Amino acid sequence: MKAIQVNQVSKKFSQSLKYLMRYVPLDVGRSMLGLKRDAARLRRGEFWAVDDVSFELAPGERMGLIGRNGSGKSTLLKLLNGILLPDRGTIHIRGRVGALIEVGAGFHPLLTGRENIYINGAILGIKQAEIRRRFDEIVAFADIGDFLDSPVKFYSSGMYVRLGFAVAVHAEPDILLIDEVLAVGDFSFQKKCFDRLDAIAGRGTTIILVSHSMAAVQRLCPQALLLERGKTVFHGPTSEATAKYYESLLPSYEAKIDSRIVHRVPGSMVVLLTGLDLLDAEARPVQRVTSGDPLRFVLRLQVQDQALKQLPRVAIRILDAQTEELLANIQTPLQIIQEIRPDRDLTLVCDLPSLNLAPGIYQVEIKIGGDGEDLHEIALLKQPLEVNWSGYVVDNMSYKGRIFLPGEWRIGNGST
Amino acid sequence: MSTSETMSDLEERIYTPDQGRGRPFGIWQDMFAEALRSRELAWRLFVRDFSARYKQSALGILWALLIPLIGSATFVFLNSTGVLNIGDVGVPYAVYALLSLTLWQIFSNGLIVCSNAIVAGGNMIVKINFPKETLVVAAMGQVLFELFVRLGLVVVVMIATQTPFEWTILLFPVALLPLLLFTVGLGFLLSLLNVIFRDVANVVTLAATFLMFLTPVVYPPPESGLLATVMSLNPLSGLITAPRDLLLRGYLSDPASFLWSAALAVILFFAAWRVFHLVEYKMAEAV
Repeated sequence: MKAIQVNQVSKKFSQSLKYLMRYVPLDVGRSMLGLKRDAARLRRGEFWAVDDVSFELAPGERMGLIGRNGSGKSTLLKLLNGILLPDRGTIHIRGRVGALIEVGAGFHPLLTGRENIYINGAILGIKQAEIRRRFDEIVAFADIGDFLDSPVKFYSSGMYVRLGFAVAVHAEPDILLIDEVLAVGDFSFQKKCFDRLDAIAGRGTTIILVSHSMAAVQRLCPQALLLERGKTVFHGPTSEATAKYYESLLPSYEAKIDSRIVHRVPGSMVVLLTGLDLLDAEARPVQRVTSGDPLRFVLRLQVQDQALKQLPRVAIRILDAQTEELLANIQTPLQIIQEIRPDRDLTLVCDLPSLNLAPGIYQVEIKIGGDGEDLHEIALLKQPLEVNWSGYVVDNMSYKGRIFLPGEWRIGNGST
Repeated sequence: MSTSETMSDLEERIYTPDQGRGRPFGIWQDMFAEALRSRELAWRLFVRDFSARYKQSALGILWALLIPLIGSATFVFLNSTGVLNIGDVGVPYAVYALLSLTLWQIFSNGLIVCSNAIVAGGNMIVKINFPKETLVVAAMGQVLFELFVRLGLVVVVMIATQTPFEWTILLFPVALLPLLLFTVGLGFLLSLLNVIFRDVANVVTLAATFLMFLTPVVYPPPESGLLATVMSLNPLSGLITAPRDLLLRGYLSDPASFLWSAALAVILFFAAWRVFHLVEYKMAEAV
């Protein structure tokens, strides 16, 4: 007997409000007249958000649901929860479902934590008697201290998440659906959540975890399902799924340099970014580089407004491709900016003697303008950058840490 | 196997594209079972909205008294200065106006809050699976609470003006029921429509004001003329006149009108509930 059976499930959405306003009344009318909804076909302006997905989970199994933004993970989770109905296929769910699509959905900001525990419990379908019985446990887990009787609008975001999570996991569901909620909260709380999830999984709760954090998926789920544009790309061991996920990140960046990348001041287009090259030591263009290798950025700009006296600041930014966390911001020194005579065509070169990034997928951004120029349109070019281990690509993902420091190891002789 | 034994005890849900189609009686069963299950949730949502509503308000619950008081004071003023000539209503006009506005506000406020209920709960709808009827019912709860406060006020004013109490006051709650069903029924339909066309909320507010003058609320129905015809066809006339008659007159002035209006209200309520139940799954996509 399976806890979850998903059989060739598809779900379509409208691309715009225009189609939504047309199709929803139509569908509703049809289902009221007892006609089939004609759901299996796509009409104009619709797309498959989830497309022909099938899988099964036995009680106690844990599965990660991964994929890029818009790949259909959250939609699939909502289908499993019954918030949305499939347009094709069937879903069988056995047991009580607890869903954490968003922590604290249904919290009322003006009400106290205490009041919201009861309300949220009721919304999640927990009996009041059960909440009363587990109240102290929930409060202890949420660790909100004196704030229990303050309105939740005075809570920090961490406290808010902790309280929401605490209520949901204490519902003791047979099936728990979690959407990315563990990304919030500090380290110690995340650890607490994972320990809690381990514990309830050990009691036979089936868990599906949607996350962009491969570490979280690897930590909790032996298997994972990778979605791309609503379709199952891979379903199997988590390590393989995450490797495929990282691969899928790369080709999505189709960095095209076009005339739209401009820095504007109100009313006039000032600077155009016309080219970006990443060059290796032999001055060959690269998209994959090796940790510790030199890297040269070549930026080509075009000044459109000849009245421009000084070039705006130009920065090369390096971000984590998944979290978009800014890791480095390499700015043009003021001295260079002052020296440049804004001419029609400009080339800026930036040399990194050693790219000290740990292996992984990054995003390079070229930003023209910015700080203190709120009214200006900022030119931004994004391009992916894959950093590999020197020589071999194998164990990229198991690298711990964000930066690469070329340590040289040797065996000491006692004095040094 | 022990796992499969325990598994078979668990509730099983099946989600398919055509949920609930082709089971005309099964749906009613589902609906009643769900209504029974979600009493607690509706109550909690009511308490939530109720306590939140008066929390950041200096006058708090007093608002429930102030609004009908000022409303009826306006009509009493217009009547006593002769701007509006209403004629004899059999009881002090202050009592008549206050009670009438209290009854009318069940419908007008009820319709406004119900039609907004789903959109207001949109954030929950897209993230949690729960019976959406509870949002409408909880919204109506606010209106019921105000009703109780205002009826208390009516009684106080009746005592102050020495208006006699008839024994038929005991039937008053029963006579009120069709008005409530009519309001919630219409509220169900409008709340759905409001999800797709947000114009509905504005239209309802406007229409409620306009409808009040096509219903014998602050004055008794005229004997003849166009307005008399409109009022005789307006189901709200019967639904509002009957409880008022029972409280102030001691008899029903037009039992036939009440009966057909009440029957219409009951039919509307169940039909609207069913429609709501059938299409609520679509709401998470549109809200």
